[in-house]
Amino acid sequence: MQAQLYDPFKKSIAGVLRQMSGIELRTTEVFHPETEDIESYGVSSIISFSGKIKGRLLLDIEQSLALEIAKNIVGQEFSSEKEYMVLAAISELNNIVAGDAITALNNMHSLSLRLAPPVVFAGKGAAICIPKLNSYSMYCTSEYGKLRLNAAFERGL
Amino acid sequence: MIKRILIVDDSPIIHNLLRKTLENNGYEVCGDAKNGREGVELFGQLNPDLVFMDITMPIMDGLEAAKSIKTLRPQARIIMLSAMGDEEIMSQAKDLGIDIFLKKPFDDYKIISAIAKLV
Repeated sequence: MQAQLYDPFKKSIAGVLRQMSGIELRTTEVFHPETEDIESYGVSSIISFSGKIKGRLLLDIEQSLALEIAKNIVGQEFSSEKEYMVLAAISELNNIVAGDAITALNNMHSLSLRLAPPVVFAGKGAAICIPKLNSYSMYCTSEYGKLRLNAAFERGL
Repeated sequence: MIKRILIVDDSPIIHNLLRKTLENNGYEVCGDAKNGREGVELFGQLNPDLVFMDITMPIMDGLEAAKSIKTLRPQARIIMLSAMGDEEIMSQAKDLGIDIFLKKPFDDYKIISAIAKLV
């Protein structure tokens, strides 16, 4: 794993989440390789990027944390993680985290990476299978639940 | 004078938050577009005083939409509001004559002070 590719995501997630929702995230310092399919915590959003290299970012969030994030961003309570504005809030969180990290990668390494619009889905235990890419996860906790940041690149720098 | 504002962004969250900020500060959101193509069409129909434009959107991205709008009306005022903000994109936006480039996430102060710079 090339740390230069993954570190910008680590730097972005806690700051962006705090700024958007006021929620503090405790993050692990290292990325762990994912060797099996990922079993979703509850709400997942995937965003792809491509340029001189290709990759994607997955944010996987427990239902309780997703509901709290959406409540703080939108300013109203939600009862289900499947509500449209909850999914939209997680999707936008992913877009901004990825945008922040990709901006840093582009400025450091001239990769000309561009984001595709994110996709988001809800379903605890859903298997997320992304073949052909080696991915690495950083596990985060908060007062309201867990979050997994999983990033993958097709190749190194 | 800036009064009527068009929002072009594929995120309902951004529409919701930006509309609140703008309306709380006395501006009128005259239109909401979900992608660049809709944004160009609504710009032609509504003739807003200012456009807030995202970059990453389906169908037509914000830079392409801004180029079309500037072709329609070279003096159109556009603020790019995007999650992306690298040197290459900023340079493209500058070449298109974009007035101001803001990075998401945003707060009320960032938005209102950006509009104030255009007045």
